[in-house]
Amino acid sequence: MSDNSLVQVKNLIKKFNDISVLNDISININKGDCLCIVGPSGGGKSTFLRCLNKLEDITSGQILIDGIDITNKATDINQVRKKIGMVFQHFNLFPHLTIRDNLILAPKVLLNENKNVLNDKAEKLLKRVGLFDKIDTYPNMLSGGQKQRVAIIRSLMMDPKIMLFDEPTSALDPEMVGEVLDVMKELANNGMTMVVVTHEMAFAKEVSNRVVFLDAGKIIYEASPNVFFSSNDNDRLKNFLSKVL
Amino acid sequence: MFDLINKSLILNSNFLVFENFTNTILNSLYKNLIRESRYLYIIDGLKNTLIITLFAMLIGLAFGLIFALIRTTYENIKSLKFLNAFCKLYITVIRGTPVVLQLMILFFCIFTQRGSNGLFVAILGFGINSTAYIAEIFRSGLMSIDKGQMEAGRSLGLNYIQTMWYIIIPQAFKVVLPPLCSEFIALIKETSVAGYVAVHDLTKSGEIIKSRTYDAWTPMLIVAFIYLSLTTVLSHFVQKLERRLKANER
Ligand SMILES: Nc1ncnc2c1ncn2[C@@H]1O[C@H](COP(=O)(O)OP(=O)(O)OP(=O)(O)O)[C@@H](O)[C@H]1O
Ligand SMILES: [Mg+2]
Repeated sequence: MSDNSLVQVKNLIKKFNDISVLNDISININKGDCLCIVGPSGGGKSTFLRCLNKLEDITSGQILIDGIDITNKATDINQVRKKIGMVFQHFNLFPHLTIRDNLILAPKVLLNENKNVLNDKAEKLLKRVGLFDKIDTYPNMLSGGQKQRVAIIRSLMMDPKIMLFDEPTSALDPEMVGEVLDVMKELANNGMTMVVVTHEMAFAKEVSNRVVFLDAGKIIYEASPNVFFSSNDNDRLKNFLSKVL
Repeated sequence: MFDLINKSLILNSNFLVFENFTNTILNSLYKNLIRESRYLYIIDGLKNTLIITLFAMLIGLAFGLIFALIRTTYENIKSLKFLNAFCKLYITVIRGTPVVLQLMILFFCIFTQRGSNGLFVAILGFGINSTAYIAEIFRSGLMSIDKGQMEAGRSLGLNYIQTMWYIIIPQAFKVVLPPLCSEFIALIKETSVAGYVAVHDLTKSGEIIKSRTYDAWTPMLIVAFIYLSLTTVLSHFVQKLERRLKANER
């Protein structure tokens, strides 16, 4: 293993009531990787992502994040989660807080940073995604695409080392998908390590450097996007791609 | 002609009846309220009713919130198992038995020393009682918040308590405000059984006046009118509040 490695998953097994949802998954994610995970519904993509920041407890195996074993009971998971940003399909913005407070809440509570510094940071990030004028509004005033862009920079406020995306555009109207993917693309181009569960094959093709096909709780196939989409030799993957492309 | 006389007679007698009626009412009011300053019974009773309701509600809010947090914490992350079992038992027993009985147990079985303060027992009893109901209101409010909120907070690195405090409780508060107000209104009426533990509350004051004046109708109706005024005015505010909360949502 190289010291460039950020996430190491070894023989991960996850069961829900004795039903295996993830079946012996091992994978390494390096700094700067943009790893896309595709696969049929129910294949375990969300569950895999949620295991990486311990939103789900795993049944067996080992997960190291930046060298820290999160499966070890002694590990303070809250410390590790500060380094892991997560973006949800349904945004999960805090409806009772303004956009500013959505961004500032977690770093204010968790990081020893001055309020002005956080404010500046929030403003800068909002400008970056073109939503500075929304800073003092509430989430219900935003469109889905705007909400998701805010959700992404809410995670960035914590300066994460890795970002997890669970179908970030699936709940959006088609005309809003592009604006969110653009933000993600910019992130990837700036070197953010990303794991993206998505049905946007064009995004996977264009932005990622690795694509994984996860089906029935197993990594069936992994390759660079070129090989993955054009010259793979796996029948199940071919079958899946023929349905979604 | 005959017809006209007849009509005026009826009118006249109607007027007489009306005059008699007003006089009777004024007389009864005088007898039941003014004579020997009997209105003071009502004022004292109303004061005690409000004191019991207010303090019982405060007890209920404080402990109800704690109980609800214990129960949701158990449901969320399976910790606090024994406290949760206790809360569950408490809520079952309190909600499954009449409040009068609970008061009488407190008054006649537990605080038995002579000169036990009925008012204190009533506040404690209704506090114990409303804790159970308010706990359930808080709990359903907390559980009504989308699971994604907890996950978003936790994934940012906030711990369970921080997420509860900054994210879940403020949202739940909005949800529970209307039912809490309804609980308060219900409590005002429920305290009318405080007389069983020798408290002179609003209802009791009607009874006392009745025993002095041997007139049941007047004091009972006066007391009913006061309860009704309290509850309608409060309900009106609750409805306003509900409308304002709804307007904030969209
Ligand atoms: N909390 C849970 N309890 C029981 N079973 C669950 C739970 N969460 C997920 N599962 C099951 O695990 C399997 C994988 O679910 P998962 O959500 O990871 O799939 P997915 O690949 O993300 O699918 P989709 O593309 O529909 O989002 C499914 O069969 C699902 O029913
Ligand atoms: Mg999913």
